[in-house]
Amino acid sequence: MTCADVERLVDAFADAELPAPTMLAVARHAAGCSTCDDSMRRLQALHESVAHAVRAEADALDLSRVWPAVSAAADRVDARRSWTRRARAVPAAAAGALAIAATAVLWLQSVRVAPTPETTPTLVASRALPNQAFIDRLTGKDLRLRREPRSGTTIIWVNATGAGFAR
Amino acid sequence: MRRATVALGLLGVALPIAAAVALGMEVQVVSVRAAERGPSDVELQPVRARLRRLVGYRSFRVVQQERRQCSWRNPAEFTIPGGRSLRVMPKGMQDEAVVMQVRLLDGRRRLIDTDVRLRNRGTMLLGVGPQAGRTDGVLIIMLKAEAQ
Repeated sequence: MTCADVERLVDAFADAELPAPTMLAVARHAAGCSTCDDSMRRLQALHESVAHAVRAEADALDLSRVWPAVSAAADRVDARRSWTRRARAVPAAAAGALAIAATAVLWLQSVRVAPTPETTPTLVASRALPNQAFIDRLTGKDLRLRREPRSGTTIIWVNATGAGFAR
Repeated sequence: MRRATVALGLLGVALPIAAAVALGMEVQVVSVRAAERGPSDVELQPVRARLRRLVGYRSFRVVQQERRQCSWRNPAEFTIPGGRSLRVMPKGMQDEAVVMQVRLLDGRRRLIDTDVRLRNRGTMLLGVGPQAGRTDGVLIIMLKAEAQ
């Protein structure tokens, strides 16, 4: 390692960018060469000075408003994502709610319509029978009205004197 | 083209209605002798049990029957054994039932005078005489109405 080699590598040595054997060779040469050692100490001082200046500048920066602003922006993004998620979830939620509501309505209707033992005879009685007849008006003497429940067949009896089959 | 289709449609609806109005309904009157004893006619077998429950007799024989086409609002008179008559006047249809006036006449005397709504193709009965207990039998008139 010569002084020319050290002069060529001194910036990389100061930034610790050289491989370890080269770093060691540069350091051994500087330890035995006062010229290269002075050169390296000046460069090291300049680096420290620049770093100090940069740190001072960085410390002087007012970042108090930055993070709240970033946080607020991040919150807005999160909120937007949340609404997006909700909006995406609306059809499924609406479908689910609709299904539940429909089930509830059907159940309520079935409960309302389901015949109880008391109402069943009424439904059977209201069924139209093949011979069902409604008498709106009936006049005559000594009349009787009978109805056969199975077919609804109605008979009007007149008990006329001497009204047998043959007179 | 559309007018012709509409006209044909209206004609298709109107013609059956007009035909039904013109034809009126068919009335069938069957006079049956009911008695305590004796055989029953085969044609009455399907309704024998029903007649038995209604009138109490066991034997049923067809004495006379008549089927006639009746027009609406025009009375039709059917001869009944024993010198009586049955006058039927169809008035119209209401809820699948035939609305009609039915009069059972003994000469000029009205034995029965009624307004009924009988289910279309249904049968109702008129009984003349004492109910069960008489051996000489009674007269049962089966009245069936069928609108076209």
